[in-house]
Formats: sequence, structure tokens, C-alpha cells
Amino acid sequence: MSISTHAGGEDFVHQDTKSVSINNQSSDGNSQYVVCAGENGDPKVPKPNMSQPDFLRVNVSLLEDLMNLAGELVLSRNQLMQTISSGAIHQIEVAGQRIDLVTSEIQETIMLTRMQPVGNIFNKFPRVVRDLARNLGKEIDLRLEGNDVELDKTIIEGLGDPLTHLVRNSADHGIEMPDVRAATGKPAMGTIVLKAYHEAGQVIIEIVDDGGGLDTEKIVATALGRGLVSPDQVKSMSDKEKTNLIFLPGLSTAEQVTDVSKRGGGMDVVKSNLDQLGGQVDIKTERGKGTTIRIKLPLTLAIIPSLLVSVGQERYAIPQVNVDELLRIPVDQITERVELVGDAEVLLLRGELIPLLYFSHMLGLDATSCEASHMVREILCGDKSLEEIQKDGCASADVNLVVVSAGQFRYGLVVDQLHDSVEIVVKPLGRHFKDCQGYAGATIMGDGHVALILDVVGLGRLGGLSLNIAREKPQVPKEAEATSSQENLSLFVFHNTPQEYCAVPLDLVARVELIDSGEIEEVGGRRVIKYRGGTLPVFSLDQATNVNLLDISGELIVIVFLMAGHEIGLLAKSPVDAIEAQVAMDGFTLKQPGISGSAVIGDNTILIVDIYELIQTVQPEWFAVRGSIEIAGDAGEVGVPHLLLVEDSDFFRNQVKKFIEDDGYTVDVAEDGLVAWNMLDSDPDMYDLVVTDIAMPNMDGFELSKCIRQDKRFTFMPIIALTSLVGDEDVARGKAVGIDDYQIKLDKERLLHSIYEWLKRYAS
Amino acid sequence: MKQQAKEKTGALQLSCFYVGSALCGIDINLIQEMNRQMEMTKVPQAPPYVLGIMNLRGRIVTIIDLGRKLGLAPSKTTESSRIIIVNSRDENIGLLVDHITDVVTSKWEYVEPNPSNINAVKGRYFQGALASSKDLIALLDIGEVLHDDW
Repeated sequence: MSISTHAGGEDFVHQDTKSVSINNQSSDGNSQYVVCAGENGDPKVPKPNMSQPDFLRVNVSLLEDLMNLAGELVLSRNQLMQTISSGAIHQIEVAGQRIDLVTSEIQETIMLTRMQPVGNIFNKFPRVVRDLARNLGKEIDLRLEGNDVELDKTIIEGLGDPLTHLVRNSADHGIEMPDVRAATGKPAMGTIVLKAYHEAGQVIIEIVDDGGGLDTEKIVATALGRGLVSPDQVKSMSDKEKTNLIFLPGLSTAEQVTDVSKRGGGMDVVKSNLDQLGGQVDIKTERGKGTTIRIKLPLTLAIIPSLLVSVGQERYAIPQVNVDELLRIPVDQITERVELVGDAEVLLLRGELIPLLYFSHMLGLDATSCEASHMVREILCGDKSLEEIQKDGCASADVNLVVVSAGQFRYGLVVDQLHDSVEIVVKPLGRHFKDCQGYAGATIMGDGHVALILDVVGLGRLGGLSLNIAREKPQVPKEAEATSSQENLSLFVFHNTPQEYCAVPLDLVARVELIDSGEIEEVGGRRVIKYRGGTLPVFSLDQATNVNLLDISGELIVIVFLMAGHEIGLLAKSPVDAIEAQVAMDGFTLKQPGISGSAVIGDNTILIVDIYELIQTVQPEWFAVRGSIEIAGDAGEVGVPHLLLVEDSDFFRNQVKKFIEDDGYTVDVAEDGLVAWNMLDSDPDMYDLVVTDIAMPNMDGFELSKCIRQDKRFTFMPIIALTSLVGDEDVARGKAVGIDDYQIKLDKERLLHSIYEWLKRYAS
Repeated sequence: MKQQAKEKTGALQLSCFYVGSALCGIDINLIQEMNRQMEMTKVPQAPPYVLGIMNLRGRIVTIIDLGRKLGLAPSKTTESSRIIIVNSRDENIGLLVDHITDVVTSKWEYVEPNPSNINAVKGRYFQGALASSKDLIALLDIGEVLHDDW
């Protein structure tokens, strides 16, 4: 490597003598490179004594890679400087690309050097637990899993204390004395499992014990006794929320540990430690059976995806993990969406009350900019009418806000503008900012400017949010849950024309984009937009169904769906909204091709769009391939295959049933696992395949599958599970009980294909 | 601190600059570099003497208005303004000064203790004074100036 570097350097020297000195210094082999770096760093600057020497074990092969890459970088730099002096634009571009490539490779490799196996901290626990067990007179078996899962060095370091705390808790309070265990029919030896694994780009660490579980009633009693929650709040709490009370600060000071007698010693500290690492904790507990503590951690802290917002002239980054959703409220809707409670502004979001904080006020920025953000209060108080604001030139300015959450806090942060999501490198702020609460660090943007990274918790505190306000939050979903015995649907509502409200199920929407009508191109008789380097076909409702013509001008919304492996966009007009509503679907009055029916939500009649039919009309060729497969499937079977569909939601049951039937199968439906099992049991030869939902009342999909598999009559019957989200854990669990395949609930094409494949296998 | 200044002996090179009308100097060995990059990001809620943060070749550098920190008038950014980057406790910090003069070579022995009529609070920031050919140079104690507790 160093030879080639040198050669490149020499070449350069001959051509441009002016740069010799610069060039020689760093391209003359690797050893010199290192020396240079040292010289740059510290000659005039006496290093203060390092309080603790930091060492890191790094794989030699990684270092070799880095050396190679560094050489490569020097080479590219030479190339670049050479081409700059010769002025060949094309070659400069080539060199730029090469530097781009090398830089990102160096970045990745450097990040790898920071990765350390969790085994480094796990391995100290056998001793901790053994000592504890001996002192307490208990028998405890500690099992470690996933020692080689790697995490960033800083996370590993920060994880030591909270993990020790949790493991000690499990051993001390979780596992019972051997005689108690024997009395309850458990083996005398208690088990604690400490495991780490990857899930969805994050690392999960679980501490599972088979001890006595948490005494939620005692936790609640203590929290009540200390006035941390009100009796009313407790009434509406689920068990899970009660368990989570353990994380409240104030529930756990030294004397309370004896008070509660169960876990609770410093759990708030554990939580805040983990919060700092960007981790989330979750407790599952069952009385007498044991406790599972689940910690979700990001792989690395050094590079985090963030949302950029701007306030005044400056840009700020909000870590994406804290961002729940983005909202843009048009000026004329402010009075409907925002309420004044006392002198606090509160946003109404799908029945939930969310406190609003003004970024600019909190940080004492001048409110000179003419953004509607500053006008909200004036409008609400009636100081200024809408017309006046519009006269001031703010007619187009909407209120942009980011709903953020962290720990106990959840609030809406009002900013001037919302920008893109980017990956940023976190850099620490200097010591002069140690009293500033609102920042988690700074980062350098692509253009060289510096942007501050916001600390959502710090800002919440700065904004004077009390924990009490924040904690009212969990009750609201609870109410919604209570009434959900009726059909409860998440719908994405949009406009076709200003008078026509339309909606699609929210689960189907992949994402939503805002475009300008000028971006739409007509190519080959189709409308497309350029999008992330590719083209995205778009269509409007009026192309496929009998509605008013969409006015294609100004700003348009593109609702992107993922169908049969392709993306397609539906053009619509703002405003859009995501609502959760109990819907009584009317499948007759307004039924037509592409519209599955209508529903009345609020004061408006909303057309429920049947996206499959629409796309089938607009892009028939996407579906052609499977059509022939289906015929083959029918030919292979004796008679029409008979399917059993198990699904508790009326809406989905009808949708899925309809498209399976359309594909030429006979379908019977059952609303839960128990009904389905009775149907199967009474007529074992009737059905060829079962399609089942997972989450259902009475008997869920896993239970049902287990029953089917355990019955000899149905050993070979294919079972396809439908879920709205597929997690690795679910798949594994499903496989264990005998589910053959997993499909996302409304991906029609995949599901039909899967049905076909499994029927074919079943027949043979 | 004053004692320390007295105890030091040997050659001394001072990099001199004006903060308002005051001529100050910093031991040249403490200075990493000087530049005139004035693009910086304001940090709301920061102490008043902090002007903002700046990107110095991938490092975040805190920029301090030396005039304000020393209790003089706030500096104005002009053509001749410069930022002196010093390294203090493992962190780069930039000091905004009004203009830079020259490097004065002298000896530590010639450094006089602070005049006794200098204000006690401000006095903390100075190690002493050095009489040069034309003016009196106030020797800044960077450690004290950049101390964040005040």
C-alpha cells in the first residue's frame, strides 16, 4: 500500500513543484503519516494530565483496513489537487467521487473500531450473581446469551451501572428464597437470563428472571401515598402503566426500598441513565412467574439520524428517536386545533392534549420574524383577527410543529420551518455551555455551518413542563381502548376537491410527499414524478373512479402506496389528516368501482377508497402475472379451494375476504380463533387453508395455530398469518407453533401469491 | 497566579493584540492559531460573553468575546478582527480580538506585578504587565479568562 502511495506522490511532485512540500510530508509512506498527525495535534499545547488513560482493543485487521484507506485518501487528494491545477472539470468530478467513496469507507471502518462486544460487561455478572446468591442464601443460575453482540464503546461504558443495578435487583428482590420457591412448585434454583440480540436495527438487552414478579399494587400504593399520582389516575391505568410507576423519581429513595420491599431502589436513576444512552426500558411482569426487563439501545451514539428544523436564521437538529410526528397547522385552523388552558396553549391531536412550547420564546430569541408561530397566541386571545394577520403578510405561513417525546415528556415544539431528515455526527459542546439545558451537542452540516442538537428533555424542563402534565398522557389511549369494542379504524383523510373528503386505511400508506404540480410529467401517457433518483407513477382518483376532476395546480399531496412490490402515488389536495375514529361503513349508498363505501366522520361524509381496485384499474399490468398463476392453481385443485379467514376487525375481514374471493377461492370467515376452531373441528375436511390474524380476542392466532398443528387431521394444512407489523420475534414464535408464512395485512398481491404457493404445496 | 508569573523565568514571547483600546498579550506558546473566519452559529441561552460556536476543521470551537469577558466594551466585528484559537483544558476556544499587532520578545523577569489600583475582579485575568518600547502590555492569564465558573 505504502509503495503505491509513494508512487502517486512522486508523480505529483514532478508535475507541480510548488506543492512538493505539502505533498511529501504526508504521502511519504504510512509511518510518516502517523508522525504528522502527532505534530499537528499538540506541539504548542501542553496537554493537561489525562485523568484516566483510555484504551480500546481493536482488531488488527481493522487497523490494516484503515491504513489502506488512509493511503487511498492521500492518493485521491493528490489526484484532486493535480486535476484542480489542470482545470479538467470532468476529472475533478471523478476525483471528488473517489474521495467521497473513500471517506465514507473510512467513516464506516472507524465506527467499527468503536464497536465492542457486550460480553465485556456481561462477563462480570456471573461473579456478581454468585456472590449475591451466597450472601442471600439463594440458588441462582445466571445464563448469558448474545455475548458477541456489538455496541458502541460509549454505550457499553454507560450500560455497566444500570445493568448491574438491574441484575442485582433481579437476584435480590426478584428470585425468592429456595423454600418459598419450592412451596410454589418452582425449582429451588432460580434462573436469571441476560441476553442481547439485534432487532430492527437496534440492540435489545433483556434481563429475565423467573422470580416472584413485581407487586404492582404495592407500587401503586406507595405512589399514591407519596402523592405522585392521584387515585383518579390510578383507576384508569393499565397494569403496564402501573408497573411503569416504578420509574417515577420520588418513588425510590433509600427508605422506600424497605417500604416497598420489592424492586424500586433507584429505578428512576436506571431509567435516566438509559435515557442518556438513547435507550428505552420496558418492564413486563407477572405475579409469581417472574419479570422481564427489556432495554432497547441504538447501535451507536456517534452518528444519529435527526430532523432538521429552523428557527429564525439558525438550523437545529432534533434526534429522530424523539420525533413522534410532524404537523403543519394552517393559520385558519388554529382556533379549531389549539386551545388555551389557563394561559397555556394546548394542541388537540386525535383526542390527546399536547402542550405546546415555543422554541423561540424558550430560548429568548427575538420574535421579529413574521412566522405564524408567534401569532398563535394573538389569534387565540383575539388580540388580532385572522384578517389582520393575513394583512401583515403571513397568509401563507402555517404553524409548523414537531411532536416530540422523551421519557415522561411529550409536547409539541413550534418551530419556523421543518427541513429534511439527515444523519449527523454528534460533537460535544464546550464547557462554557454547561449551564445551557436545551442542547445535546452540536453538529457540522454539509455546508460547513454548525447546527445545535436539541435535547428534548432539557427543552421540556426549560419550558416549565411539569411531570404531572406529561403523565396524564397514558390515560388517553386507555379511554380509546375502552371504547374500542366497536370498530376502530385509523384512517388517512385527504381531499380530492375541496368538497370531497376521501380516506384510506392508514396502514396502507407508505408515506406522504408534498410536491408542486410542476413536478408532474406526462410520459408515455402516464403521469410520473421524479423521486429519489427514480420515477414514481402517480394517478388521481378521477382517472379510475367517478369523482370530480382533481385540480392539478399549486401544491399537491402524493400519498405513496406499496403495492405488488411497486410504489405508486395517489394525487390529492391538502389538508390531510390522520384520524382514529369509530367508523360505521356504509357499503351501499356511494359504492362504486374504486370506492368501497362511505362513512360519516364528524360533519362530513368521507369516501373510503378501495386502493386495490384503483391500482388495478390504473396499472393492470402489475397484476397480469399473477392472474395466470391463479388459473394454474385452480387447475391443480379438485374443485375450488376453500379458505377459512380468521380476523376480528370487520373492516379488514371484509376487505381481505373480498379480494380473496375475487381471486376465485371460496372463503368462510370467523371473527376469532375460538369460532374458527369450532368450524374446523365440526367439518375437518371442509377447508384447504387457514388465513389468520394474530391479535384477536378469546383465542389469538398463535393459540389457534397451535391447536391446528396438534390435531392429526390438520397436520399438513397451510396456515398463513396476517399482521400489520412483522417483527423477527413474532415470526420466530409463529414458526414455533406451526405458522407457515407471514404476510402484511393489506399487501394483497403478496398474500394471494402466498395462498397460491401454499395451496399448490398442500395439493401435492 | 501572580506569584506564578513571578516565578517563571527565561525568554518570553508575547503575541500582542488590542481589545478595544487595551493592549494585551498572550504567551505565544499557548496559541494554536489565529484566523479571520467569522462565520459562527449563535447559541441561545449561552453566557453573554459567548459569541457562538464555529466549525474549525471539524471541531466545534467556542468563540468568546474577550472585550466583554474582561469587562470592557463588547468587541465589534471589523475587517481587522481576528480569532485567536487557544487550547485550554483539552478544548479549543476562540478569542475574538479587535486587531493583532506584533510579537514582543522579552523575559519573564521583566514582567511587573499588576498595578495595585486595578480592579480586583478584572485583576484576576491578568498575570502582570510588561513595559514595551511604546506601550504597556497587559499579560492575560488564559486559564483564568477561560474559567467557566465565573
